[in-house]
Parts: sequence; structure tokens; C-alpha cells
Amino acid sequence: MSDYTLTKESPLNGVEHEFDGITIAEVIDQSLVMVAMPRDKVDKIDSAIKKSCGLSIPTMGHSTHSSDALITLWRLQKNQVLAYYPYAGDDAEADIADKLNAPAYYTDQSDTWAMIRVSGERSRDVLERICPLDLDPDKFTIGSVARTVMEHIGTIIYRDGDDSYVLLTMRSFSHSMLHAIEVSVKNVL
Amino acid sequence: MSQINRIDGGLIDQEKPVSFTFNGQLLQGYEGDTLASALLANNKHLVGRSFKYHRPRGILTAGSEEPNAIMEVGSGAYKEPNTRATVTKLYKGLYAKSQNHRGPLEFDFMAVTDFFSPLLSAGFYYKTFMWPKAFWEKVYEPAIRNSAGLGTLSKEADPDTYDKGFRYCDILIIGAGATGLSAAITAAQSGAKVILADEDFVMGGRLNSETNEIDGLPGSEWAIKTVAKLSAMDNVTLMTDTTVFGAYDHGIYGAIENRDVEARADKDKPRQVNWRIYTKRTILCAGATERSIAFGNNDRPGIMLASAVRTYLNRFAVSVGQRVSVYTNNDDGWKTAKDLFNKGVNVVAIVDSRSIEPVMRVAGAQIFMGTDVVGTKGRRAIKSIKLSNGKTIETDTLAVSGGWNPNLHLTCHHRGVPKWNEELATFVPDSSAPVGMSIAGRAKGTMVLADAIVEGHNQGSAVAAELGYKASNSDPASTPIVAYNISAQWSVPSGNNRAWVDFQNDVTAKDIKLANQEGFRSVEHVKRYTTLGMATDQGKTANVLAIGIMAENMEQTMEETGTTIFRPPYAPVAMGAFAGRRRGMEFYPTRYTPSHKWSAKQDAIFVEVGMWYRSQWFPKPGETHWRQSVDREVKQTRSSVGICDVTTLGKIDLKGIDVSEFLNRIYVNAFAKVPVGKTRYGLMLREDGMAMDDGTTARLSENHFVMTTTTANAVSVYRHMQFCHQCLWPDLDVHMISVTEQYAQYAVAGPNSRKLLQKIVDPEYDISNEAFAFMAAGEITVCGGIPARLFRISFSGELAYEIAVLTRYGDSLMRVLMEVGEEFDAIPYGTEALGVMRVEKGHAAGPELNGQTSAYDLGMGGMVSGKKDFIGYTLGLREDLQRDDRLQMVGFKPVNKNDLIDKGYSLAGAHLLGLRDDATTENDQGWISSSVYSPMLGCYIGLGFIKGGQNRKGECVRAVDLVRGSDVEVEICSPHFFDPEGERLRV
Repeated sequence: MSDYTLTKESPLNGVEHEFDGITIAEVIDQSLVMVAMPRDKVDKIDSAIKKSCGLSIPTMGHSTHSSDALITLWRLQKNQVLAYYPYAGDDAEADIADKLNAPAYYTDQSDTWAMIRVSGERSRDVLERICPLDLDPDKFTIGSVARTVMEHIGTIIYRDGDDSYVLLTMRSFSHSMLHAIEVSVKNVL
Repeated sequence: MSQINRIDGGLIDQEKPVSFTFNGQLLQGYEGDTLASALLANNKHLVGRSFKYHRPRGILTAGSEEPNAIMEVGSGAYKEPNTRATVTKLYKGLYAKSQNHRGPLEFDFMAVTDFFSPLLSAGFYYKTFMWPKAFWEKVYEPAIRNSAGLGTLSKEADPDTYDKGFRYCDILIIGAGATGLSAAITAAQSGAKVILADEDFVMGGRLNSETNEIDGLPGSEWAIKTVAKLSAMDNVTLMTDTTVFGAYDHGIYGAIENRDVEARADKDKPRQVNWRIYTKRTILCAGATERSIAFGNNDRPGIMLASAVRTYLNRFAVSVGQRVSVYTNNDDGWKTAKDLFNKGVNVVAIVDSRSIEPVMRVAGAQIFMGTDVVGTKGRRAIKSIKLSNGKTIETDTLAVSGGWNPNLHLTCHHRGVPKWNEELATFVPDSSAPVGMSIAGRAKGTMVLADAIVEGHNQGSAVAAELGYKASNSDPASTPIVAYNISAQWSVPSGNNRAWVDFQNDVTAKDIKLANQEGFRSVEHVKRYTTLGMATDQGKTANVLAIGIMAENMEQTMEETGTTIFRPPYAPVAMGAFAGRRRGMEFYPTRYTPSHKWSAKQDAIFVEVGMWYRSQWFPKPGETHWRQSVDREVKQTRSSVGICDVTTLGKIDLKGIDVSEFLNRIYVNAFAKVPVGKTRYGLMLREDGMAMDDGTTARLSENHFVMTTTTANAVSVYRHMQFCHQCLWPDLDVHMISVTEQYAQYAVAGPNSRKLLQKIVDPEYDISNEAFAFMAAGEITVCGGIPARLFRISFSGELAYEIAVLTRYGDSLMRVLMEVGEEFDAIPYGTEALGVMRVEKGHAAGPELNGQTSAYDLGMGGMVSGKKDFIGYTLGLREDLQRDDRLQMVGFKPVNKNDLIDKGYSLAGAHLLGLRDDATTENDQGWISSSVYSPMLGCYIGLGFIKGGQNRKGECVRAVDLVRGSDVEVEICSPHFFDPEGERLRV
């Protein structure tokens, strides 16, 4: 047994702020794994994940869910999907590979991204100050996902509910992104 | 006496008084007032001085076109000059000061310039200050600058905050007057997503200023009802007090939402929001602006545009005078007389330049047809007017209407050119409006309200249908048809009296004539010679009038004279609104390394590397100079062990059966046969054969590699590889993704590095020299099962490793490494020590990879494989790149080791010259690209480029730094200053 132990911490230490009509909270219970799909194996992967989890490969900018609703796949790129699912261990690659049981390449991205959920009835009012995308609820529907730039920071935005959005930014930028959201809240409310 | 000009009615709330201060005097207005209307209610006609001649000036308009009533609003750091009183919503505590005068407004010392006006004609500066030449910079310019300028700045940082935002719509409707509201209703009824924006803080446009009836209701009430209907619709966003200032590419519009009142009540709230509005279609319903007529002394306080008189009367319940005259060349001017009469204000005369029958009779008013006003009297307020028939009429207000100009500004932002309409005597938009923009109502030249409403109604519906929405089948609102007849009248012969055209920049009809006489015939030249239309109002009330005068002077048509170019912004925008949140530390985001918190606790000095904050050095108590810290860090690392956060270096994970082949094509050296568990140093070139980036790539399993790049090129290398894969070799099975942030990575360097690591690496992993030799790589676990990656690579030249763990453990690993390292006196080292050690080892970095150096120039020609093709191979064979006398990277050390020690600066940036050469460009042989003080060698050393350097080792040249004033004899040497054989890193 080692004399030393390593302790883990999330990018924003689980920050959570509630305001009138808006909540900002770090998402700390989800992992993210890149699932790369070789060109000649897309069909095989599609049928494999259907069989293993009831999943299908989503269309670009959209997401699909496993039959137990735990695993969500995001499609932002032709030859890859991102698997977003609850997992807190240190080997997400092996874990998701086991769950999906598909001939893909897996790369853990859980520590690459900080995830912040912005939710509440005023969420779109807050986000329109930093998000250059059209978040019209009828256009950016629940389950939509997109890559964009907010406040000079490369960001993935995923709508996971009626008035709920998860923003993912590279971990090192997380304090700047949190600050940007907080300023928006202050300016809007 | 308070608000002596206030009458009953209006669209203000006379139950809610609002106090404000003007030039130190506490005054009162009402909620719903503008600053201008509240001043007029308080009989404040003289509100400022003109720019050049310091003429007394009063409020001319009631809108954003105002040239005269521009003020300093706010106090202290909040002060903003050139604020237009006519669009400033009155709020409690508003603090306004008139500007452009020395001494009190009423007794401006600088008014003396008006008496010298005969000397100050157009082009005065250009003509007068020619001689003596030397006086220009020292005498003339300072004197002119001292007296010029509109308003004064606080010279403090703007304490207000600003924000920006993004909005999308199917149809943006600009202007919420009768036309805009009509368009919005049909567009919205069709189901389209509509944004309706208006620069006024109350929607309704001219309906709020006029007495028209629409659908049987007063126009302003119809507007309120229509706005209420729109605001109840989910697909409509209403933006009041929002000026659409520019039409940009792809249907994007810039708009400033003014939230002054909110910001004054709560200083944390943004004062303005700069919106970027993405549209599919736009309907411009911006209305029209009234213009004046140039007659003698037409600029006195109390002379106002006729439409503004109606606005103050009908909307703000202010009678601007008690004995009002009207001077017009069109039917619209007569409305002013009618409205005044209906409100019980005495109209003394109506003067119409047209020789036609009077448009109406107004009891008590003398009517003069085919007559002009040729002069006025009254220094600080108008007292009388003189007519062309010789009569003089006593009056306290003159309402002038020279006709209406469509607000077509935005239609020209893509270089559209307006066309002349003789019937309307004005320019109207032509078909060159920005793609997706249609125009309706007065902005298009549809001057009759009834027609404008129908036009707006139809366009709202038609544009929505174009976008696939079901056209609305509602009927347009109805209003009686009131004709608009006009006969152009630009200027009136006024003898020696000056007739003002551009009120803000003090340009007269005579100035324009003089410019034309002097050969300035192009409208653009006249503009610049006379400063016409160049003030903050951009000549909104002046330009068409001036073009009319130019056309007359040059005996050409209006079309031939043409307009100047319209550019954004339509109205002044505060610089702060463009900066938005991006001020100070928020100019761009910051990136923190995993060890940042720990480093900050150690009082590390941080340096910005791109957006990253990296520890530059870690001062210890007693160290008073950065060099002391850096020298210590270098020595301690080389003698025991040092730890450096290298997370910022780019890390790219590559998976797939073709990755080794892919790398083989990317790097100059062979990668096809890198064994699993090994790392290889690689150099990649651009297509043109120049070095792009270097780094190491480790093979973790058969189909899994991880590459490192320099911090600066992390993104560009990734992009380059994506290009190569997606465009050049899509058939290769290669999948890559950045893992820069996925792993916290630390360099552990120095003779005790292995001993230190052995204390945390789990015992099943043997990292002895035999089992884990130089350039080994592997996936291991540390601290009882935490997954990690270990690479035996060295940038310092010492026995060294880089260890990576999931970033979640990054902060903890740094603390553990330091704790474990205590017995070895382990120290953290920063980027300075890192840089010193890399120069001591002769590694090329950013200053050497400058985009102009080949592998051979960098002394890495031996690495270049001749047995394969790779990016940059072919162009790297160019003859010029093979020359022996190219600038080649070598080392430089001072002949006298003590050189520069006393000066305390390095050789960096010095140019290399022959021992007896003069310091001229012709004699320049190269430069020092990187230089540091080497604590190991006890002198400054440098890397640099010199012609044919690799064959000149041992030769002495001079490193001359003319900027800092040093001239040092240096010896050309190998760049490997320290441990040239590399024995230390292999032990």
C-alpha cells in the first residue's frame, strides 16, 4: 500500500448558485468519452450499440439515449460521438467500452471538460448574452448539442431539459466560463 | 418659475415629477420627458454653443438627428460628452451641462471667434497656417487643439458596465412608427419570429407627435394598442430605446439598447447592451428626418424644425413659444400652425416659399405665400424675422420645414447609392439595399401616412410569406389621406448674413459656395474641405440641404452632385459598448494549470503564455531579484531534483491501425517502427519545408500513440494534423483528439528524479534505468492504483521524467511530489529555469521555430529521413534551402565571461557583426534569438542564427545591441553548452 494518496477534485469544486429563475451548477456526476468510429465500422458500431444498450448513432447536432436513459451520445463530428453518462471512476474508457461493446476507439475526455448546467426559466435570457447560437426552444430542441465559442472560449452546449443547458468548456477555462455566466446573471436579473 | 411652457395633455405623466440639474440649476420635468423637452418646458432655449464660432444655439429637433443640444451628461467619471438631449430619457438626478463654452453659457468668452468669422472661412486652417512652417507643430496646432473639441472627457476610466448579446429572428423590423407597427403585426400574425426595434423609448414614432387618427383612435393610442397586441405574442420581441446602427454581412445587424435609467438606479447594471441580431429578412421602417432651409441667421435659439415643434407640443405638452411663426416649403409645415392653433398657441405668421394658394387659414396668422425668411434678430433667442418682402415680424419661435429626407442610412451600408426623387425633392433608397432588406413607409419615400401603413402592412405579410409563413389576411389600419406637396427650397439669398447648413460643425451656405469656387466639386471633397456632415450628428439635418446648395452652385442636378458614403454607425455608439465586458482582466479568458492553486500559495510569479498562466519562478524568502530564484532553481534541479508543471504542452491522443504510417508522413524522421513503450523526438515541417513544431510521441500500445507539441502550437499542430487526415489521407484509420486538459503533466528532472518517483510509483512497475531506459514510456499506476502515464524524456538534459495523471488528481499530485521530494530538497521550477536549461542544452524553441528555419538551419538535418516522403520533404529540397551560407542556428558565448554581467541583461536581440564592421544593415550577419544567464557556465550564453554558422564554430564575431547599447565579442560555438554528450540524462 502506498504511503501517499491522491485526492481528486472537480474543476469548480461542485459550485452551485441559485438565483431568481436561474440555477448555475457544476455537473460532477457525468463522464465523457470520445467514441471514434472507423469509416468501415459505422454500421457495425450502430448495430452493436443498439444490441448492447438500445442506442443508435445520432445525427449531427443531436443526441440519442440508451434504453435505460443513462448513456447519451452526442454527435458533433462525422467520425466520432461523445458518450455522456454517469460514471465517477478513473477508467471511463474501459467502462464505456464494456457497456457499448462496439468496435470503436475510446478516449476519456472527462477531465478535459468542465461541465456547468444553466437551468431555470430565465436560462435563455442569461445565455443569449454569451451564446452566439440561436437557442429558440423550437430550433435548439431538447437533446440538441452544438459546438460554439462563448466569450472566446470553445464551448459545447447541450440542451438536457425544457429550460436546462449544459455548457462544457476546457477545464482550464472553467473559472472564466463560470464568471461569464455569473456576469450574465447579474446583468439580466 | 417652474415649467412655464408646460401645457395640459401630452404623453407624459404629469403626476410624476422628475428633478434634474442643468448647468447647476435644479429643474423639474415629468416622467416621459426627454432632457430636451424638460428644458423647453422650463423655458431653456439656449442650451449650448456651436463648435467653431461659439454661436448661441437652441434645440433644433426632437430626435436622434439633433445637432445643437448636445451636452455633458453625468458627473465625475460618469460624465459623457456629446449626449443628445433630444433622445435622453429624463431620470431623477440627471446631471447635465452645456458644452463648448468658456465661462457661463450666456457669456461665452470664446464667442469672440464669431466676430472674426469673415477670416475663418472654409479651408481656413489649410490656407492660414502655412507659414512659417515650423510654427505648425509648436504654435498653431496646440492652439487650435486647445479651442477645438466637442465637450470634455472626465479622463477617468468609464465606471459603467456594458454588455452584449445575440438575438435571432426571421424578420427584423427597424422602426416602430405607423409603418413598422403595421409590418410587425402582419409579419407576426403569419407566425414568423419578429424583432421590432425602435430608437425611441416609446414606440409609435411620429404617431406620438402628431394628431392623426388611425382606425378611429388618436395615432398614439392606436400605437399603444398595437404594441400591446404585439407584446402578447410569443413570437415577437420588442426592443425599445434600441438603435439599429449598422447593417453587416449575412443579414447581421448591430443594435445598441440603451439602459441608462436602469444603470443610474443600480450601478451594477449595464448601461448599454450591444446586440448582434441575426436576421433572415429586414424591413426598414425608419421614417424620415425633416431638414431646414438655409437663410440668414437661421441658427438662433428658438428656431426649430416644424416637426419638432409639434413633437414638443403634442407628445411632451410643451409650447415652445407664445408667438410662433412658421416658414415652410411644403404642406407638412402647415400642420405645425394648425396644431399650435388648436392648442391655443398664438401663430403670428406662416411664410411659404411656394407661390401657391394658402394650404389653410389659421386665425390670427398672417400668411405670406411665395415669400421667404431672409434674416432673423435676437442674440440668445429669436426676437424677429425679416421676410423677402421687406416685412419684419416679431416672434419668439420660428418653426422651419424644408421638407423630409427618408432615413435611408442603413440601406446604404453595403455601398448602396440613393437616387433623387424630384417630386419629393429628396433622395430615396434605390434597389441596392443590403440583401434581405426591404424598405417601407417614409424611409422609402412614401410620405403619405395612409400609403405608408398599407405598405408596411403588405410588406410584413409578403416578407413572411417569402420565408414560408402563411400570409396574414388582416386589413391594414385606415387613416385619412393627407397629401404631401413640396417644392425644393435650399437656400435664400441673405446678403451678408450667414445661412447655416451644418449647425454642429458651423458650415454655412457661403462656405459651400467658396469650396465650389475653389475647385472642390466632388461632394466627398466639399465634405472634407468644409467639415460638412462630419460632426457627431453626421449631418443628418444638413447633408441633403448642402447637396441642394452645391447643385445650385455648380448648375447641375442633384443626381449628378450625389451623396457621400454612408457607413455605420447610424448614430454615435459609446466605445465602451463595443468593448462590452472585455475590459481589464476580462479582455480574454484565463487558463489555469492544475498546479495553479498550489503555486499561488507558494507566491509563484506567473507569466501569461497565450491565455495560460504559468509559474515563471518561485521566489524564496530573502531573494530580492528574479535571477536569484531562477539560478537557484536551475542549480537545484541539476544537483538534485526539480518539478515543473508542463500541462500546457499540447497532448494529442492518436488511435487507429494507421497511426504509425500517419506519423511517418507528418514527421521528418521515421516513426513506422517505434516500438511499444518507447518515445521518439520528432520534428514536423510545414508544406514549404520550414520547421513547424517539435515534440515527442510515445507509443503506448500497437494502435495508440500520444503526441506532445509546444504550448504555443498545440492548436495549430492539431489543426494541421486534422487537415492532413481529412483532406490528404482520409483513408488512413487515424482518430485523434486533444488530451491536453485530460492529463496533468509534471516534469520531474534531476539526478534524484528516479528516487523521488520510485516513492509514488506502485511497486509492480520497475522504473530502474534498465527496465525503464531513456525515452521509455508506459502506462503505470501511482499512489496505490491511480492510473498514470510515465515518459522518460528530458528537456533539461538531466535524468528526467514526465508523469501524467487524470487532471482531477493534478493538484494533489503536485502536493504529493513536493511532500515526497522533501528528503531530496526538491524544488518547483518555473518557465524561466525551464528556459535557461533548454538554452544550456541547445534545444530550439519558439524564437528559433520562427517560420523561416529549415531542419538543416536548426542543425537537425541529420534527423531528416531520405527514405520516405513526408510533409515538407519536396519543398525542403529547394536549392536555396540547401545553401551552406544560410542563417544557421549555433551557440554563442562571450569571449570575456564577465561581459554583460554588470549590465544585467542578456544577448537576446543583438545582431551579429564582423569584428571590425560598422553596425549597418549591410553588415548584419544574423541575430541572437534566445539568451540567458547560465548559472552552470557562469556567463551569458545564447542561441542564434548566423550565416553559415555550422562551419564557423570557434570564430569570433560581435553581438551588437544598439537598443540597449552593448557591443560584446562572442565566440560561435556548439549550441550544446552543458553536458554536450548527453551523459546525464541516460544514467
